[in-house]
Amino acid sequence: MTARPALLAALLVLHAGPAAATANLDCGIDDRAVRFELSGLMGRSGSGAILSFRSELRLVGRGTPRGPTRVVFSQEDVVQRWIVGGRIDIALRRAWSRNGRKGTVTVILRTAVDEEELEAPGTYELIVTQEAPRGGKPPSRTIRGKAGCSLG
Amino acid sequence: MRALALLAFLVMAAPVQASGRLTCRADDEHVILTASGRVGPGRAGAITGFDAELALKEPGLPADLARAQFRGADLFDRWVMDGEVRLRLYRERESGPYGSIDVIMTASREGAPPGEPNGTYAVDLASGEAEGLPEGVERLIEGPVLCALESAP
Repeated sequence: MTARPALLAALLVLHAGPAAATANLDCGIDDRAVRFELSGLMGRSGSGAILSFRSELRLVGRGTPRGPTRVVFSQEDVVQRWIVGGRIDIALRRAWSRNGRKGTVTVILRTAVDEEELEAPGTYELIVTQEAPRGGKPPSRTIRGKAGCSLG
Repeated sequence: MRALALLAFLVMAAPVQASGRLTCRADDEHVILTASGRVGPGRAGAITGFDAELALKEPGLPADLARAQFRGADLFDRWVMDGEVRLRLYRERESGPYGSIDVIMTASREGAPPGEPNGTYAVDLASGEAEGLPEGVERLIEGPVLCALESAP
């Protein structure tokens, strides 16, 4: 339980605190279709990069889109993010290829600190797009579920 | 301003997956703030070619912070999705006394008629003691902003 006040404190620090403040960022998805982890170190100053960035997606179980089964994301795959004022929203995108097929996988996390619980629950959206064989509209499949993040 | 009003209309009408050019502008008694960049295609397009400029109108503020230019590396946080625009720019003084400028713009396609401001900006300026500023300075300035996403053809 000690991590919960730390989460709120870290979010407040990142929003209005001293320039050198840093905090551990962790996000995860664990349901019947998707296992996802993201971790890193956030600082307000410097380049704005998420330091020691690690993120991996595994598609497990039935109902998952055809395509990749495992994707390792890098810092450069963070296409959008909003980690401000109690919101932790992150979007990652990476190209995949498997057995001669290729496309992109996009993970969108939207979470917000719950002031009652001092956690950051939210949702995810996973979009797997496959390159169209003859220049047509690329087929894609989207699944959605619950996600969570913490910053402390 | 008329062109910006048209762009604001376009952001209301554009499909969320569309790529296009993002612009934001605030011009009031406190600031002139402009920002632009290209949003890539797809559900969460990357923002490239970003650039922004801020001019604070209050006299007596540290010159290097009162007029600032921002590039993509200064765009710490960005979220342009589902009719929402959220941008956060941050820079620190590279030498001399501590100084920083933090700019947040948030806008939405909801709730504003075309051409009217559809969001707000907040500029947070802080500077330590310096020549001519024996006590340092802190300012939080807020006001309306208009952001728009012009769809690529």
